[in-house]
Amino acid sequence: MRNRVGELRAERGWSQGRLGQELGVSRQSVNAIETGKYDPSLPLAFKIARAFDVPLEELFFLDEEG
Amino acid sequence: MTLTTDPNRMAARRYIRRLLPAMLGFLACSLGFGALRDTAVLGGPLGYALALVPVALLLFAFWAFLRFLGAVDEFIRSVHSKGAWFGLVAVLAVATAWGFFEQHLAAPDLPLFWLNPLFWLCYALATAILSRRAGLAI
Repeated sequence: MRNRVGELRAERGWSQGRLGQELGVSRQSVNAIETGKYDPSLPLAFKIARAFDVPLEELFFLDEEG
Repeated sequence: MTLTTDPNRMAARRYIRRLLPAMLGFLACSLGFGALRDTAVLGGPLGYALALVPVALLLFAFWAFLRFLGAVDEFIRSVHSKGAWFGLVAVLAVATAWGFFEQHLAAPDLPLFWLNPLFWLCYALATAILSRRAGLAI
């Protein structure tokens, strides 16, 4: 799965630590999600979408979606 | 002393504070049993009762581990769960292989209590490797 978490975070000028704090997870977790090393659970994915105020489908994509 | 509000770090510190005494106790019991071997103390029911002390410490360590998994975030939890899975696989593989060796090849008996340190060692190694690959500080 791919995602736009890093891109949206950079647009807002947030650090990984700040986003992690908002989501209640570690900076390392945010980094792992951004780099595609870890796919978040559905509840966490919804939290991320809510933090950026975007729909979930604009944030996460299956690889075959291009 | 550095104070932290990071829930993962706090959970890790709590875990170490619980795990360390349990493991030291386990080690002390192992050494104590070695010293008491062939004495009357370990000969009767008291010996069996004493043998349950390290088991209690072991169960306490696994309880602490479960609490740790429940307190960290889901990514850290997944890394440590995978590490524990590798530890379990190592223990089962060694126990099964050595069982066959003993049964069919007359290999020397492997004291079963070594499976416990083997689990923790393999869990720690696997978790260290997985953490490194995931970019986590160890």
